[in-house]
Amino acid sequence: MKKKIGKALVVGAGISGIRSALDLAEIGYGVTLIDRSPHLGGILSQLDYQFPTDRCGMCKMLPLVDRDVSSQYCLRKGLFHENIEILLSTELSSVEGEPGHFHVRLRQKSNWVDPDLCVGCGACAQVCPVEVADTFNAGLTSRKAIYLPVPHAIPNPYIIDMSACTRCGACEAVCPTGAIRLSEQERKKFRILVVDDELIVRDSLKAWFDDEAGFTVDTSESGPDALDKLAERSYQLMLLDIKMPGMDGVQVLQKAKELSPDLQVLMMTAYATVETAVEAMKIGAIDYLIKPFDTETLIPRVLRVYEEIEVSKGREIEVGSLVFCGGTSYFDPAVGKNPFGYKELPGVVTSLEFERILSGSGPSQGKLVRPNDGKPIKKVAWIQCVGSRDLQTNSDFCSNICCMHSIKEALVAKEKSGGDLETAIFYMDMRTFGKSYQRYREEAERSHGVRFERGRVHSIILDKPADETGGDLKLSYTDSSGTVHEEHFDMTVLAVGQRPSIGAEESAKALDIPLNPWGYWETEPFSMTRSRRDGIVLGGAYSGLKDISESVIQASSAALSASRVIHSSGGGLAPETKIVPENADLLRERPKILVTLCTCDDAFSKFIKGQELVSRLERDPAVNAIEFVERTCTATGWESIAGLAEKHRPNRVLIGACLPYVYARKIGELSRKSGINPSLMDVVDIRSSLFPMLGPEEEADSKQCAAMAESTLLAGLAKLKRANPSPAPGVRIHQRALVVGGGIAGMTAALAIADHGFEVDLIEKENQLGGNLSWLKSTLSGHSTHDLLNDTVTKIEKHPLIQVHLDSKVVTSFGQVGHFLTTTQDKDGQPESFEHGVVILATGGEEAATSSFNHGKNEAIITQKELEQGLEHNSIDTEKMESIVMIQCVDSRMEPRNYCSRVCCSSALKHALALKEKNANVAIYIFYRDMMSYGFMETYFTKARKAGIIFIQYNVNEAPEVVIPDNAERNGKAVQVHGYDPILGRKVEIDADLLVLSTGIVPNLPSGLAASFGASIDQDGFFAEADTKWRPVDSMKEGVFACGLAHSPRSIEETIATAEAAAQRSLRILSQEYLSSGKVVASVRHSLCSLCERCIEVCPYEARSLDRDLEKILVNPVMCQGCGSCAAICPNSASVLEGFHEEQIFETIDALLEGTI
Amino acid sequence: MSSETLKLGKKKQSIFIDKVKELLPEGGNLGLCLTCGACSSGCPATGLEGMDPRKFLRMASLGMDEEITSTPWVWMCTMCQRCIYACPMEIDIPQLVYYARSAWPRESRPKGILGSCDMALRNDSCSAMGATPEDFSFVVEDVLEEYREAQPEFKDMQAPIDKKGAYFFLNQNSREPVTEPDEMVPLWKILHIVGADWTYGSKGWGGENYCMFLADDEAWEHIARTAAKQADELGCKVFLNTE
Repeated sequence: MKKKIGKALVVGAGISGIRSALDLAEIGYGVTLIDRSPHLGGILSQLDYQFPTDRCGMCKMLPLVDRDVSSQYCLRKGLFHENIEILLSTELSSVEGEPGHFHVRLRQKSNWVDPDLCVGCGACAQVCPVEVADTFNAGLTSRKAIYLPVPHAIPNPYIIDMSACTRCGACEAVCPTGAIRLSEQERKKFRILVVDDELIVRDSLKAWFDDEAGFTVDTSESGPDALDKLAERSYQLMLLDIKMPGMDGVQVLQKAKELSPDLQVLMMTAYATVETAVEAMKIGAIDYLIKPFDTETLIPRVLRVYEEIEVSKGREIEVGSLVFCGGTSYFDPAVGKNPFGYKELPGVVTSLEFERILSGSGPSQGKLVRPNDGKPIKKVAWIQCVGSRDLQTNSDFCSNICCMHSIKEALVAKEKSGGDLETAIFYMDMRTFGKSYQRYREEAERSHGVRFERGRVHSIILDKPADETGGDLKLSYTDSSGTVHEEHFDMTVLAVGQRPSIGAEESAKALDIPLNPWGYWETEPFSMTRSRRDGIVLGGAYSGLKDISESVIQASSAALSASRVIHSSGGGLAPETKIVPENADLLRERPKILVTLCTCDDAFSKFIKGQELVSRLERDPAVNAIEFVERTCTATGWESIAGLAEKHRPNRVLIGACLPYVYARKIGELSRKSGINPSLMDVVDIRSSLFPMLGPEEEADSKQCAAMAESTLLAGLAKLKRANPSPAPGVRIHQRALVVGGGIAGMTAALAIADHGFEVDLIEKENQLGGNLSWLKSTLSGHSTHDLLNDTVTKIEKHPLIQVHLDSKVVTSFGQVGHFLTTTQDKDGQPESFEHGVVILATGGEEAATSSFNHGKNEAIITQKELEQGLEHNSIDTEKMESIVMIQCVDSRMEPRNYCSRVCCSSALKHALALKEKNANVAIYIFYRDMMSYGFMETYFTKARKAGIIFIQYNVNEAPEVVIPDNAERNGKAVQVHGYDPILGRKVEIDADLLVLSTGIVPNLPSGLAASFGASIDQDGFFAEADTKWRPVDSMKEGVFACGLAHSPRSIEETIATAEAAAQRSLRILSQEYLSSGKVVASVRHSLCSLCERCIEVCPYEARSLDRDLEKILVNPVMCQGCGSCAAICPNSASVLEGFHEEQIFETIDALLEGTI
Repeated sequence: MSSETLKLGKKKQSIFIDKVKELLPEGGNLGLCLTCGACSSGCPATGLEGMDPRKFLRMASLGMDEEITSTPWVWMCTMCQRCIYACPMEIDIPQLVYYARSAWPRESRPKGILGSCDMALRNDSCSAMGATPEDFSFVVEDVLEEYREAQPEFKDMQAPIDKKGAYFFLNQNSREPVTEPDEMVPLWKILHIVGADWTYGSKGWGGENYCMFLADDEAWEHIARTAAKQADELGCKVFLNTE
């Protein structure tokens, strides 16, 4: 494998954290991935369905090249990658050092169950007497104090929630493998000193912490007495009152810290002296507790101190960079006025709770019933913007994802109900600003009957339904005509908005990272990932909630920013020479298989007669030795297998153990030690056959156990015997990149790759670099795009590894990942050729031209771009203007250009605010369909309304009309706009000096150009992603990536994020000289092939091509993902999948059947 | 409501809403409307006179001053504040309605409210029913006597008027002493049982304030000051406004 010369820490193992970790791991860095929760996957572990497919697809993020370094397995269940170390229940405690060399301290909480021993039998949970709300099901169900954090993780050990556990010991007594270590807590050794002048406080704290919680508690009634006690013996924790006669708490604290610096102190204070308590924290107290005590916060707080000092595993690592992917929190609608009766009315749930109701692992196994009363759900309302776009809850922002999330929930719910469900979404603006979202919304409305009601519900009350069809939640809303409707629903889903992640503020403070006005980590101008501190970067929702594709893009961009820091501080990407094990002769060698059987402590021998099994296996002549190994899962166990391989010299190894997916990394190690190709080693699960027997009361049926174990092993033997020992094929990589397009996207991508030490050719069709930045002036938030352009161009020009080719166009290209050959032509028609391993399409886009609304017929009718240029060059005199009209969505969000261009609302807001600033007396009217001021841009929409700009909503079939009046009726105004104000229900006629049209963005990616690289374009001419959510910058054809406006409409910083993501995806390939395929790849038996080419059509990865000269179908082994579609479609069995030969499969099936019959 | 085309264009100078904005902290957020309709969905006056709070605010924003200062809808608003309670932009629609009311010539305002305000200005009771201080103390004493006799468990109950140094100063909607005197008693009983030290005032005891609903600032102030002055003179610590 590649040398791991750089290390990164990824904090947060949700979707962004996983993406960043995989990206860094794939280019060879060692990654430590931590999460404070006990499971992987973040919020997505709770979401089963994602639009637009309304399915999951997380596994598409797994490595596509050099696949075998990672297990190819459901990613929601687990992630196993050679270069990624995962630490759960782990938090960051401190960071010191500088970019490239950060010293990081981690703290891993104990879960009180040994994950290596827990077999997940559940006997413990059966006997646990405690019931608490289950956070996995958003509190809709309950769980025990010993529980599975998510039902689907692998491995999935039980853990104990110490804040709920009563330490009764029932679980420990029934655990069949002794995995539970409750008694090891030894709480009695943890000494607490309670110092308070009030007897009642001392007594009650002693009762709680000594008698109930099991610690040792001493008490003192005064400061001097406490200091005496501290001098006598050592304590771990002191609970110290502030206000005491004589010596006060702060004085005691000072002296106590002198006596024993390691003592942890929690101050106890009345509300009035909180400020003193805060002062006390500055001189060493860790926190304060407010009197009167609330046992629900007090006890967990003390338990936390206990866990932190006594039972957490501290750990120090050095990393080059830190990537924060801490996700987001959500608004709690029970807080504040709660007009929708959340937690009060039956059937009022949050969007996350509804997601759980839809889930098969949810409170009703996916049946649509109300969790509190079991009533079937027939009619559901969604209320948008709960805790978003709401000054009352201090949220002057949009939460980005809720509109699409609600549409998806409505569609999935409809599908679940078999169509028998009424749905209505109450919204203010339906923010379908993503690539295919507008069409998704229209489809939901037109084909599936989801109702969209523009309007906000005032409040919800409980009411008997007026007729039998309605539910008992009564909502009232006003339609656009001003009529109030009352409607009954069974359930109302509150689309709750984002809040900064738990701990984000504290860690920002600790790391000296500024927060933005909304409480999120602030990023540098034009970057979505770089923080103020070099080497500390942000991925995903940590800087504001994002949908999956944007999170994935940002996570890759974050990985790039991190990698850049590691690289520039000396951790390069030099790959180790690839060692291909010398096993060419194996082809002719008879299989000699070493079989090891894990005794799994005593579980194995308890149920299986070892000798019988051994003699059965020995009947197979391919078996060379059979050995028992004690606890294969431990380091010693694994060492002994290496020893056995040394002893028996097998050429294949079959390991009978458990959880085969977790062994990928260990198999790699064993291969390096034994010289046996990893593809000739396999782990099979014999543990599951013992599972039913491990319950407490089950009667052992050893015959059945033996039969199951036997068939599993025989099947494993069958598969191994037939395994092809030839080394996995691969391709040599031409380590040079081609970037097509010299706008900000192309330049950013080129710099990112070149900064990692690889050469880049940057092709630009114009005679200068810059693209759209050459006419833009500044952004909505006021950053100068001129500076950005100048800085970037200077960097490009100075970079020794970047060759810029101006006035050049791509003519043709052929080749595949690792080696493309592309020809360009300059303005004189002179051709030039380039060899490269990857290509990034950054061909950009431009403002759409229009002839709608009389554009082109009068100089007072212009586009947003023309306005920007006019303001820049002072060619438009706005000083004398009195009235300006803007129209949004010109020719957009309707067929044929049925998509949102994302930037037009922000341009309109930017210009309108600038015009108002110049001249407060100008009247500005903006006709819009849905204001797409998503995310924190919402603030500017609020500002614009505050500045007096009038927004008039229009529907697509009632667009305003523009009249150029005759001179006679001109009224001194150049244009007249005829529209309709839905709030007044009246036509309006606006005389204006200027009409500005927002025409949106069209891509500049000719289909021929895309096709020459094997990429495709979508129906709107944008780059077609391999998968919109999970592989957002990849083409289906490996080695071809896209970014910027050619990919989709986006802002400058979003463009830069895609460019960095595309560069990151490229580096995964460029950083290796030789790329090997996975062991499961397809090949062609040319003698049987009739060249019908059906396999080429069916291959989803474009890994197959017809070589007309050789008259052969060729397979690119790196692009092939081993899906087997070709093998299935081939009429002659000429297409075969390594690892799945017919003989092999049939023998495996035979073995499995033999065992069970 | 007019269905004529509305002519818009250059900004009208000094429109009504701008004047109101100047009077309110943060301009009452009057410009921030998202036209979501939460206000009109919860407003008991929506639909009356073809008007609702959202439309009213919209008209004000578009400078339709004539319409908003003449629509009788403003008098149908109950000042319940359900609109601002739910408004995501915390827009002070009730204040906008209030100032629209005050734009009306006093004599054109609704007779009921106008009459009640004028009645309150007649004497120091500030009672919209026009009851005098003497009438009030007669009724209170009479009712108190009756209950003390009829219900021996309340034989020591008090309903003092102008008791110097009482902790609470209590006012009273004057409809009760005039038309439903028994309705005063439950509160007395509560105060008695909890042992509260309270008093009515002979001046400013009328709790209702029609002059506020009339948007007659001067008269409203007069009434508020009369009651406050009496509470001060009696040395009361807390003013319990029962309305």
